[in-house]
Amino acid sequence: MNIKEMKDLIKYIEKSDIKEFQYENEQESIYISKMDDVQQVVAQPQYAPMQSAPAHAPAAPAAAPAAEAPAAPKASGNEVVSPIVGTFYAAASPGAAPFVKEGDAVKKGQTLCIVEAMKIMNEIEAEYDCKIVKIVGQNGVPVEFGETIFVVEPL
Amino acid sequence: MIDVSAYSKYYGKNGNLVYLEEIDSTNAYAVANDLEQFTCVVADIQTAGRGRSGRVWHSETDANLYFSIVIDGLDSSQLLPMNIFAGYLLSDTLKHMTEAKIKWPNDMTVNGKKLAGILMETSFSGGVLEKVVLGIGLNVNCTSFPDEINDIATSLFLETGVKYEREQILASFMTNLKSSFEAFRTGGVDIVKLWPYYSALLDKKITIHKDGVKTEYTEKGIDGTGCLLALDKSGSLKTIITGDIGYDFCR
Repeated sequence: MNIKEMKDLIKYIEKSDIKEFQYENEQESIYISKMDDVQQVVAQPQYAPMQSAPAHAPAAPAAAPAAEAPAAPKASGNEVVSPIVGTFYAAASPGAAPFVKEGDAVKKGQTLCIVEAMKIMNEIEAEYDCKIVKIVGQNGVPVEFGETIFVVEPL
Repeated sequence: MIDVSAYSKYYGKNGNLVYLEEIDSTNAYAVANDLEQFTCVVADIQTAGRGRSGRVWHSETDANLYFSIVIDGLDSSQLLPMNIFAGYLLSDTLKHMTEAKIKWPNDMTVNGKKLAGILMETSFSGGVLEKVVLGIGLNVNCTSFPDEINDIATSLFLETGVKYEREQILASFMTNLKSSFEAFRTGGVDIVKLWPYYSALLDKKITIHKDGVKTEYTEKGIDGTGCLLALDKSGSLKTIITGDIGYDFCR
């Protein structure tokens, strides 16, 4: 499917009452959703390097965000891992107080650190209410995808 | 003070504008709050406006534009390309005033001096990209800079001798963004092909500053992921992922 066809399709669906649309063939799979809680449009040719979900994956709306990164790493148990390769920063700016300290209780959605990658400042937020047991990432030091940056205890 | 009604006059009433007289950082506000697509957060003063690496952006009351826009629907691989594309849009927006060009990856320059900075911020929760904010600081009407940045900073006023209405510039940028975002998001904008029209330093000698080390290159363009392509001293083409182009070769 070329860009023009895709645009036409998007336009058509935008105007229609269709809430979700999925299409798949050997080369490409397209998933478009107008639901508010998912990414609005995910269209991904199979040969794209970032492709992660197998073609037969169930088309649950929750699966859509997984297509945007090489499979979201699981925060298994009490570890918070970096979702991207980048440089770990404990504070918003040099000399500023760190976002969190060991022993802090943090709320879901609270910023834990920044991982700077490709010039973009990425705030890593707490996925659930938790206590910071250990800060593993070191300020200004690179972290790998999936590397543990915090050890936390769910509250 | 931003005149919201003047902004609406240019942009129409549909645009979501959050005007704050003073805020630590418009980016931080936009990341922290639940705002709709293309909501623009604008402030007169940023008390902790961040440049990349936490450098504080020189913030003069009412003279400049500091704004952040909520951008939904991007894949994480589109973040750096979006940063570059935002530079193209800003250059187009300012075209009739001055020729602002990009110093990779996120500075806009005029005659080797910095006119504007672009800083994107995102938030991730549990490995999932949740929010993307595009932040821009643009020197519009400021008449002077502190000594330490006087040689490397400029404003639209200093370049042209004319004072501009900030609301109109903001409305014009938002219009450009809204009209071309869908094309960008769906892959309809070739940032690689457009780079030569917008780069301040194509085919020029540059120094890349990284971890306190300066290395000389000749700029040759960007690749599709937004990384810089440059020839090193031995003549081999390198892809530069991190680092900054210094201002030492810009003039």
